[in-house]
Amino acid sequence: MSHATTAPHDSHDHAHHPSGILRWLTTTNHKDIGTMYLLFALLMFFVGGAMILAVRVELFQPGLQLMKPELFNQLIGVHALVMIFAALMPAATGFANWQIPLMIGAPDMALPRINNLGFWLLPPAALLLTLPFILALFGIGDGAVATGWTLYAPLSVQGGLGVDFAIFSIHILGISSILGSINVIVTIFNLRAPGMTMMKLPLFAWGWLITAFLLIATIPVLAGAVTMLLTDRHFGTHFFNAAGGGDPILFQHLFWFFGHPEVYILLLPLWGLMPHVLATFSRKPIYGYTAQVYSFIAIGLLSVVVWAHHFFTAGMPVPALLYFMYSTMSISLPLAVLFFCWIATMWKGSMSFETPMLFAQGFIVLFGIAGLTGLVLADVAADAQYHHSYFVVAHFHYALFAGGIMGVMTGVYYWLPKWTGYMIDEKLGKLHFWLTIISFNLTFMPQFFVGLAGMPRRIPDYALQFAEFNAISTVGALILGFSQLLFAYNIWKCMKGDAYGLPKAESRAWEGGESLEWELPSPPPHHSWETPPVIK
Amino acid sequence: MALTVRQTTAGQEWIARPNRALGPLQARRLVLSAAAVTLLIAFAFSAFGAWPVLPFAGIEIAALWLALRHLQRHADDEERIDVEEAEITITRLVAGHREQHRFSRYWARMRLEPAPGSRVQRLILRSHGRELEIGRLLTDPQRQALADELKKKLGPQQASLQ
Repeated sequence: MSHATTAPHDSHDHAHHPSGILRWLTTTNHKDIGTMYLLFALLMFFVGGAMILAVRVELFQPGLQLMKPELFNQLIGVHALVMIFAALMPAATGFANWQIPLMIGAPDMALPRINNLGFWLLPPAALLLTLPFILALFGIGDGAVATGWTLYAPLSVQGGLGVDFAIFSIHILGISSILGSINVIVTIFNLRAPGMTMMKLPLFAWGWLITAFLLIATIPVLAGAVTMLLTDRHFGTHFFNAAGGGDPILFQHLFWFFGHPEVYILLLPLWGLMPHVLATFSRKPIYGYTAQVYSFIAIGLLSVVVWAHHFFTAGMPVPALLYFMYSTMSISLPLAVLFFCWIATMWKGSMSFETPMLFAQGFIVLFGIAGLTGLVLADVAADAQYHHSYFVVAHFHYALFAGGIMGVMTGVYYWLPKWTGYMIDEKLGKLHFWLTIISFNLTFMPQFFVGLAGMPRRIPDYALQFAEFNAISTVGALILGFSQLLFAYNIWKCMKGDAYGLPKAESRAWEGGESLEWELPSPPPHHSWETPPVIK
Repeated sequence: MALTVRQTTAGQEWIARPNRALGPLQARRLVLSAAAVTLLIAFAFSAFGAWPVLPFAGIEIAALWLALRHLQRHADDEERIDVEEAEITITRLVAGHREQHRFSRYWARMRLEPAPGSRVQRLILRSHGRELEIGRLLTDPQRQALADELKKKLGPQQASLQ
């Protein structure tokens, strides 16, 4: 257990300092917990990736070769749940744990024990999500949740035991997210260094703060929705059963009231990270700090009032369709401000293209494509055709792989020298970048076209006319999947920097790094900022 | 940790306080605004029949409130080490609970020892069979400075010098 010097009641912890596995089970140190979150996210990234590679191999050719449709359905749903809840969210929380205290000059997170609990809820939740696959091998149940990650009623009311596991898992993940959010909120509000007013807060912390508030606002809705699903399944209620006076569309409203902000929950921390990276490698101050903060707030507010654009085709009154269309499109305004600020930050800068900067560039371009195709989907008339097609799949992978996962990779490469004390292997990093960006586009660009041509998502078989593009997509996915091993290897190399002869990182590992974490040694001491820095 | 050293009429006073950026008023506003938004959403969904959202919203806001209350209870924590002519007085405020310890400057001894299994040092004041760890709110360098200063002020010779 660590000894937080912030509060006297923690001081009795000075007496013992467990080592080995107990150190990790009982740690309250924000750096240890951040590392655990990040490694857990990496592991689950490969688990979720392996699932979808099996799906892509099945889709290599029309017809069913590798698996039954039931398993196909299970794999796509669990892939999404794993990637969103067990890979992307923990990765962002890992960043928060490591970086928020370093960047705001705090000695640790405000609630260290809650922090530990928040992490250790994750492994059981991930296990619950994937356990039905294994149980099915022993003849128990019919496999994992097979409804897609959205768990739409009434399909999920009728589904097998995988749905119950998913419900329980979502509850645990929700508790973990809420604990993490509360911790981020109180840390940012209470432990800022003297002189760091809210409008001097690093943008990364601002992005995370909005994420935390969005989680607080929306997680109860998800928790309520899956609880109602549970009672509909087992306790005779009829929330979503039309025959019993319920409403299946209500589930869609509940789910997407959480689900849409969830997209911003995943992305806001990474939008907060981008300006830091761009400013560092352009050797210029961040352009438009205030504009970016207000854009974050505007996006946060808008994100909770646009949810129904996910089911335009479910049937809604025309005024509702128009409202959700225009409100959705209006999100592009604050996002355009962000894009402008990112580009203006680089404008006439003295740019260099180390690996994190390459990933940041890739992020901007590909996330731009996600935004533009999102505008197409926001159009009610167009959405009637594109809904539930591969166009949607391609769109949200541009948002969540290029915007989400490549954003995480940007952050990992950017901060690894700070965390490990060794510079990253640039050659390997650049190879990883180029393989990722080329194979990513190879995978998902064809999906836009098969989607436009009418190929529906979530179906294991397809018409012959889509065969070539699906084959290309599968080849891309395989390259994309296996190139991520380079990412893991690069992280490993950096962690064992001495053994690989990597150069040691200085405090300011990147020449242009301006935020507070670069004032600390690399790696920072177990307890950093015991004396808060004074911000001028 | 914020550490201030003050000259008093009888000697010197050391005041250590952890850094706190959130006042009680802002904390209240924070909880109230989070509660307003979350409960508004929960009640709106309840109106459409999804009342199970409400208890979750309530539990969550309660958790946020508890977290802030915990921090607010420790907001005024401090340790004052008052070195006077004949006595050293240690006054501690932990979660609103005040405790005071007095040591005679003539008899008190101090030692700086490494805390078992940890990288930091503990500063311990001893006299008449009583032991007290002081400077818990300080960082290691600050504790070292306090120890150097106290060393000059404890014991028969030092106490009798003044």
